[in-house]
Amino acid sequence: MPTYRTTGALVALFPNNSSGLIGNTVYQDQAVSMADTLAGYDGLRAQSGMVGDGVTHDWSAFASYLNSSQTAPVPPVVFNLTGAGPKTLTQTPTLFGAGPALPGVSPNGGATFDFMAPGSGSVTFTPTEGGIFRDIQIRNGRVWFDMSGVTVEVPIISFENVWANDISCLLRDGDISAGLTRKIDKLIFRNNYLLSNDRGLFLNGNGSSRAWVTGNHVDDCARFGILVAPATPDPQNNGFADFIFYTNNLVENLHFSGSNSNPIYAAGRYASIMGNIAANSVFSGDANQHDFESFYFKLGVAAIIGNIAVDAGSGQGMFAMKGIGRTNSDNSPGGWDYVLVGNVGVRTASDQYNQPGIWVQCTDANIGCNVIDGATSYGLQVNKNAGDVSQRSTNLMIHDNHFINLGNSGVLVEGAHTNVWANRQMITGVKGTGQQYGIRFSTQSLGAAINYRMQGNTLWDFGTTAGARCDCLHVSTTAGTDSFQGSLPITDNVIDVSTSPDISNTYGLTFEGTGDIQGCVVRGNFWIGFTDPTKVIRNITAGGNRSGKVLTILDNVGFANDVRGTGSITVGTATVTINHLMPQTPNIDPTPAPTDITIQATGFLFGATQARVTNITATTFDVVTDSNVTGSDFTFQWRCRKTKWVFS
Amino acid sequence: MAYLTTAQLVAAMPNTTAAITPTVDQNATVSMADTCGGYDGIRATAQMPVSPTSAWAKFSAALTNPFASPLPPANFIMTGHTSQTLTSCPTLFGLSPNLPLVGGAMGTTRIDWNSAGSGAIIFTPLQGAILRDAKFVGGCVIFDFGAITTVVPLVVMDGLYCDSISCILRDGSIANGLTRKLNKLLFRRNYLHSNDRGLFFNGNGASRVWEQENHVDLCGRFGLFVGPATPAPQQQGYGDFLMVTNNLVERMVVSQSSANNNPYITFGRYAALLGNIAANAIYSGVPTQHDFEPYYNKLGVAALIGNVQVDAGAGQGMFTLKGGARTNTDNSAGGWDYVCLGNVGLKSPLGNYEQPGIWIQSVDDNISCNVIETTGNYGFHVNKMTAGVPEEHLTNLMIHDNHFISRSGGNAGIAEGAHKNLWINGNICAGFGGASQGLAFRIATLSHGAASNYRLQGNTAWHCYSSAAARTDCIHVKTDNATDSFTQSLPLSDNVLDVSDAPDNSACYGITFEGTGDIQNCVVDGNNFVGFVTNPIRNLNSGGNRSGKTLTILNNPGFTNENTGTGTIVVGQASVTITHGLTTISNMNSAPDPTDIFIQPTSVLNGGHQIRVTAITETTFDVVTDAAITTANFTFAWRVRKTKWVFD
Repeated sequence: MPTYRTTGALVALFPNNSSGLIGNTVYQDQAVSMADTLAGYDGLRAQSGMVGDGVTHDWSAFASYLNSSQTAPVPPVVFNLTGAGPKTLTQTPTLFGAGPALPGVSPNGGATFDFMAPGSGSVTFTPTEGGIFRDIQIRNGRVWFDMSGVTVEVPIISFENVWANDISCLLRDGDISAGLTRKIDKLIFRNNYLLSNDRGLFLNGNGSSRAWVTGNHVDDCARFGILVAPATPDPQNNGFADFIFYTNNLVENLHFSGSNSNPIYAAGRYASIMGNIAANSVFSGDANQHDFESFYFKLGVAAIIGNIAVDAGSGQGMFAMKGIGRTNSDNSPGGWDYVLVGNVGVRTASDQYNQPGIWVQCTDANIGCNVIDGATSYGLQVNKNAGDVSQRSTNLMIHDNHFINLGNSGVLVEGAHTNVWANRQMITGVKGTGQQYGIRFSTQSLGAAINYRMQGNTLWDFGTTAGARCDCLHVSTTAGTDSFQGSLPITDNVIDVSTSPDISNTYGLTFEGTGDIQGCVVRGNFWIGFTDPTKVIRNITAGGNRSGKVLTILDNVGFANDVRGTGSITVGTATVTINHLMPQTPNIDPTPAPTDITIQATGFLFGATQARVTNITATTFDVVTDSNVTGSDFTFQWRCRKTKWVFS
Repeated sequence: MAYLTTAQLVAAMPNTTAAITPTVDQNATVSMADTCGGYDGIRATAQMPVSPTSAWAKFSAALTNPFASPLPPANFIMTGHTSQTLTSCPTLFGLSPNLPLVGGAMGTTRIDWNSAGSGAIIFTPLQGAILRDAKFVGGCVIFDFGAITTVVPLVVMDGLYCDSISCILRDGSIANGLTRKLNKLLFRRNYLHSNDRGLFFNGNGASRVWEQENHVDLCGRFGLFVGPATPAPQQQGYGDFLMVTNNLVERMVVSQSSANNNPYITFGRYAALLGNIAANAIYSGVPTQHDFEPYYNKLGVAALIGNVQVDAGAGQGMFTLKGGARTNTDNSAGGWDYVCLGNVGLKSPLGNYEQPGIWIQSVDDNISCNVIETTGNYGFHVNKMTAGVPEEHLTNLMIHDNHFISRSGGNAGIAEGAHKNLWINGNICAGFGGASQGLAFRIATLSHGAASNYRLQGNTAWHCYSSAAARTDCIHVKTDNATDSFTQSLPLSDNVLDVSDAPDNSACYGITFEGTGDIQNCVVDGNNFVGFVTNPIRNLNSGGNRSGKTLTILNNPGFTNENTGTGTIVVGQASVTITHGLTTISNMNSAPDPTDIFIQPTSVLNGGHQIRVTAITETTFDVVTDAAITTANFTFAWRVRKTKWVFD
């Protein structure tokens, strides 16, 4: 115990009290009275009669005190709330600690409410009015606030600098039936430390509008780190939350066990998610556990910028942008107008979960300049969303991202969408023994994919082993009636497999299926390290709706569609066969057109008057004269430049 | 508000059954002294006198016990202070915010060490500590971690106003072998004014750092520094999870005699640096002074977004992305998975220091959408690194969509060394060059071997400041050693290189190849060469490993690789010489192949039966017939299109 001054000595320090009495009656009218002092420092005990010695059961006094409109400072003592039970608050007190409450400092973490009920998930309070809590500690079991029974919108809830440890949940809402568009009009949730709780902030249900969720530290919780969202299971169908700020939160060491756990989860409209970190989820023994995405979003009109994920999740992505199941094409939360820029996701060698990179299930999204390092499967996947509004995700710009050290695929775009870019990605270190893709467009039996682009990407250091099939670029129509329509430029990509340990089953560009492919131009690509010219570009299956359609191929390095050589027709003959060396692309006719071939005489023709090209096949053409050459050989240079190829 | 009487209060607090007046029961759990301690805790519990009497002896004695003490708005003077190791730390929090020019001249709670200019250490904390809403003045280091040997769980410094002290929090030791010394640091909303150093948390650093909304003004060395130990911090443990947001460091006084001063230094892993500003370092008279970078980072997995610097430092870059000499390729702090996005760096006309732009010494970086405006220095610089360190062959650098602006020359971007997958794409640079040799974009191997898969695409270089015939290479591709090379792919495409408004463009070149090392698969496609009075592409040296290698050039306005015209072989003649007009390249074979030339007769050939092309040179070719023309002139149209060039 510290050494205290006498009251007389204290009075001497307070000029306002120097003329008053400190006897049995308090001066109530003085600017600073002892009652003020008491209320200022120890308001809760002064007003409620709670003891706060950590032993005496204070629940009864506390419960009686509640439902009074009080503003109560809380002293740095421990209130034993043994016996706490559910209570609906018609009026919610404002409780603020007389000092910060944090672990590792003395004494005892400041103002502390101890439920003394480890493991309990029982609900304590159902607020019907706003509540403010600051600089206090809440510990040992139970749910502090539960919004399930709320039927009228609560104007404000503020938690700041609250240290909640070993409780069930500080703020929770599991109900979707009240029919509200939201249950909290304004949530301020800042600088809280949530340690070893069952859930961190779990404001599920009809959610909150105007939410500032900033600077919180969630550590060692079991399910969910930070969640503000409309109702499950289809949150976007059940009202929405507008105006959400998640900034500089750290969620670490989340334990995954049951279903659906996420370090950072936000659903709603008009959201800014910036500078948050999710890290080091604790392995539960199931490497393939799903629905544990590090950052999980169902948002409309959202900026997700500068966030970090490291070994923090498992499932559909380090960063998941969802939108499935929304019923309206606009004005419903989830799945449109996303900016996902400058985020970094890492799966380190020590992590035991499978972690893909970015999951896209929305429309009008700009996904750029992210770094994804070490994803176990894909770097990015656009989901097909069968039957949903977002089945035809439109206007997806996927560009300028790093996808590094991946398990088996760089970018997968599945489904039949409109206007999808997969441009300027750097994809390196795709490793694995199974089938791999660098960038894949696949219609998945959903019809017409329109105006896709695959441009300016670098794919490098493919580590396919044991002859695993690897399609660096893959364009697949799953059903014969599927198609790629409008335009499909595949240009300016660098595909370098020179460091692959086994390229025996590696292909530069694979077309698969028999669906129509329109307006496809393959130009300006670099195919590096391919030793078999038949494996640079291929079409796996002949026939179908693409048969007869033109594929434009020009100016690629590593695909020799512009070849030159020399030839001669010797004296006494009238013909020579030239091997034109066009790549033998499977199921794409390599036969040049007559106008693809140029013959330039390098000597005069004697004995005949004309030379021309004939008998053009997939591999050769003949140069013939109208009579046998005489005098000296007829020499010429030839060039074959075939730019229009036709699907068989 | 209705107050309880003291008697009622006593009744409400059973432990306080002793007489209230005239003396306090010092043994009660809740006493009146506790109550007074709420408002004036530090005086109530520590019995500290106010100025002019020194409070040090009382304060020092009280610090041996744990206590949480509110600080009244009083002035405590600590004359006679000594260093003290704190086995338990106080929680000290002011009752009102502390800022200058409010609350009277004192700024509410004020602790004055009365040691102007002193760097003496006050406290070595062995436990967590919380300081909030107080003012420290009068020299001294408040917290020093030099002697810490066990991790401290937590330090909180919120709302502090530190004026003319040595340092609020410092750590100068690297010897204790800890991976970190502080498990959690909350450093928020502090105002550090005229300190010798701001936050200088050097040494083994801190994990879980919130560094937000601090204002550092007029400090002598370092603004905000959290990092593992120098001189090779990444080898000495690390700090994880760093959030640095919305801080302002201005008017740092950079001393000519001191080494290594920086507004921001951040070392560690998993970091988000968003929305900070560094401004207006105070000039000490050495424009070339180094090691004063405004944002100096040695980070792994980091997002640097939306930060601003103006005249805030000098040295290797406004924004430095370091990682030099790290010993591990993973799990060591520094140098990988950076996003550097949307930052703005400006050297204004008032800035006296040399300030280059972005310094890169790391791997797997996405550097984009930054605006760098400087004078006479580079916009970005990829360092070559020391031979043998992991970053020597940096992989996967995307430098794209940035502005590099100079008002009076310099180089827009330099990539030195032999790296893998390096993009310089989509940047705008303006005002490069100067009175001596200038470069827009330079890639130079610097005798480090093979540079693989580089790209320079889609850049605009404009408003060249080349003067007095200074050599200016808009794009400079250089092998410094004959065994160096550019391998795999090297597209130089879609760039706009405009020197039309250079004061003297007589030595301006569009693309310069220099050295004799191998260059593979280089394609120069779709560039615009504007305003050149010399041939815009040149190869400075013949021979070496690049000799005989093909350079593809096509579709570049300003460089004539395709031309058309008409010609005539007059009656009585059998040949005519055509000047084809193709641009020549020094030290490259610029003569077209026969199949590059197409002759289309526009009249009937009389006299002869055949025409062909011969005597092809870099400037002309002949069209010849097998017999002299009779009756009427033979007229024709010609076209030449050369796309394959060969290095001499």
